[in-house]
Amino acid sequence: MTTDDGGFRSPRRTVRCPICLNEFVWEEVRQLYERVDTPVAAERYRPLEIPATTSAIKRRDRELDAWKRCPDNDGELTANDGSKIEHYLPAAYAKYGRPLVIGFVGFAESGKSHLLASMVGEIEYGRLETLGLGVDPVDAGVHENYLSEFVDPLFNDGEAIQSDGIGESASGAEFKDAFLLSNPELGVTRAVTFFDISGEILAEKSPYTQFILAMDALIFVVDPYVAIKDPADGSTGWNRPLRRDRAFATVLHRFRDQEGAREKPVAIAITKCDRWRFEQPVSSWLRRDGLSSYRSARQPDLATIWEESADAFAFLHQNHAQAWLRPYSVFSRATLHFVSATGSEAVEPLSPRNGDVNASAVGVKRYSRGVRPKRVLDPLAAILAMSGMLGDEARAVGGDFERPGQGGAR
Amino acid sequence: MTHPDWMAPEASDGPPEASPGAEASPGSPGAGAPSGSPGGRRPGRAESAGADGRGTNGSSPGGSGATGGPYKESPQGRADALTELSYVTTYGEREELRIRLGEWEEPSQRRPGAVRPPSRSAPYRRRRLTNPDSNLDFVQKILPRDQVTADNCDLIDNEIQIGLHLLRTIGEARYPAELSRLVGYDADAEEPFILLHERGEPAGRFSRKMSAMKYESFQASLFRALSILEAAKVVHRNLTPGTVRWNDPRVQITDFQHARLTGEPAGPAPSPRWAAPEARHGGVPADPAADLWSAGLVIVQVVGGPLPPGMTGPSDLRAVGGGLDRTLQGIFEPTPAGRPLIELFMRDLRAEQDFVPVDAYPEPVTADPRFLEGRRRFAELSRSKSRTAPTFDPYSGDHS
Repeated sequence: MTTDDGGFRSPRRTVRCPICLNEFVWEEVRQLYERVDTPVAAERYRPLEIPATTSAIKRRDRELDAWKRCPDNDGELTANDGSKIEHYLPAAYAKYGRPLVIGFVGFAESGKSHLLASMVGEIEYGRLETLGLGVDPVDAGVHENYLSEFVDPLFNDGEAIQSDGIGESASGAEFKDAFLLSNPELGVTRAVTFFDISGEILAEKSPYTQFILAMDALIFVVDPYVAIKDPADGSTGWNRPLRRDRAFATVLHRFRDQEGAREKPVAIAITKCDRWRFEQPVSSWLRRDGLSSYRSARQPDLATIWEESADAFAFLHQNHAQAWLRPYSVFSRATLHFVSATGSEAVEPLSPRNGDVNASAVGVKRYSRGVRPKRVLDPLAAILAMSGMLGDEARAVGGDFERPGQGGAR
Repeated sequence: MTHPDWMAPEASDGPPEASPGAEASPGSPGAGAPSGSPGGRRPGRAESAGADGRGTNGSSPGGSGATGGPYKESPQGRADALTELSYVTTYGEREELRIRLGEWEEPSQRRPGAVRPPSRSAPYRRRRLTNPDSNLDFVQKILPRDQVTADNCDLIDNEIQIGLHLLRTIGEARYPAELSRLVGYDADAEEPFILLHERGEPAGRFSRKMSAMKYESFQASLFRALSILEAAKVVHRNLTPGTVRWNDPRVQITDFQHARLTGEPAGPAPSPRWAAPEARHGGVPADPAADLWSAGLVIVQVVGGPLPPGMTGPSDLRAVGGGLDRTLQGIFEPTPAGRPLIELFMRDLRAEQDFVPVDAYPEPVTADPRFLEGRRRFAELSRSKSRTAPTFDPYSGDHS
């Protein structure tokens, strides 16, 4: 019943590349690469040469953050000019068994980048300890780059992430960061990998959207500014314009004839909820501490998780955003969440640099109130629970746990 | 034309005087004593509610981007100037209000050179505003631009959320004078602010300045306010002689920036000196019994004068006088469960008719039919998925 044993990844040594979908034997790819900091994409990875005389301890240290190149045997993944798209995976990707590959689906402006950055920031802050999980970056260099490029400017300087170029890799799925999560109680260690799935490329119906099926779990990012019609717009009643999310539609289309794949864990995260922080039911949920339903991680509060999903579903339904609810219908195990990646809206453009090289970039929006993420790890916790990372009882997250007597209270 | 209670014209803020013909203090032994309390001791909250069937008194856990300035004219303009203030109403709609700006209220006098004591509270600036059209007064609490931090914004957001919760739970028509009332806000302004109806003066200013009869009124009104908060499932967490105001003949509890809903996780008490022992360091769910302790200390200060420095609890209520050893009996029990029910205090003060029972306010329910339809739809989908997995997609028409 779970994706852990599901049909998209062969067990043990064979790994399916999350980008091109080809399977290959992990150990047969022996050449390791190191990633170098260069703006030229083609030169970003170079073979890792370790002299034969190097001691075992030094060798292991150098291999720690190495990468493997996917053999991409059928070579279907090509750029517009017909050239093959080389792609690489962290060497620790499958070192501890089958990784859990989580794809974030949404458009660049959906709040996806901020959600991911806030999640990584919260993980870096040690918040997953609440779930009894130990955390270590799969690749220290990649993680450090991600922190310095996205998380630090956001958290330390209150700078909004600029969407240009984000989530627009040629393949449509861009590796962002990965962690080794270990649950000492269960004796489990597993790589959890975050991929940014570009809504823009999905919307173009790129032939490369096949990678969607290789994801072990999906987080659909709902941009309420798009999904929810502002009543002030004036269009109400019978002439309400039809709204839809082409990224969601393309993903769901991919699952039309993939019934087994519909058991993948799915979380639907309504971002930017700070906009509704004084309105019910959003206010009630944002007041709660993140991960409050997982105080006993192996036995999460299933009824409360169900309640949040019900309220979030009803909130979107109330605001005529049915198209954004489709993932809940399609996937057998799904949760919905109210989240705010930053706690407030970025509104204040920074003044020009005026020659000050240390000043922030021109036009970068800023969070004048500071950044205070709300409940950003709850969608991830739901995915981890449904995937078995928190134990067997927690796999029930996303199921039917209606608490008697409820129904729209608050 | 009649106004709701909260709109009643403000009474004089001057020093209160004893009302002529006031009845004597209800101090006779046994008068209003709770039935079934052995030896006259009040039962604690965790003990049996007694023959009158009282419950647990609710201490169980329960559950636009406006970027520009809100003023058409400079908010720094001189006092008395008429200006228009843009704000968000408690219905979530942006409105403009013609107002006359009052002077900024400065913090209470401090010795020259004295350092401002460390505080966990938002460093608001306050002033009174008057709407010349309705002749209503408001208090505006502003977070100055240089104090707009994530922590301070969390506090102002919380005060707005609690204010909206109180309005929604209690209802506008019967909103009590014992609680300050949120009128509007703009949390996203460059200088976030809230508008309140607030009355009276800080209770600390009346310390040892009331008649015995007023002391009883003060206590009865404060306990009534606590019963309202408990029924509304709000724990104030910062009751002090500054946040409890006196507007003869009633108190008004103000400043909900640190309040939590009953049962919500709570951090360290913002004013440890006035906080119950269990609340000082945080880490326990918000419990109305903690407010009871703080209210007791406020009463002690009003009746007996300022607490000695460093004192966090009463030493001898009999020495304080004013009959507090009787009226506050049990309020300083070290555990929340040991503190009596609010109703018992009010009974001793012969004010039980003003008590608001814990079930007075039904849980607010979202009445929007589309929201309720969404909840039903979700429940149906959830049930259908649990029966048959994989599921049925009603949008694509796929059956599996």
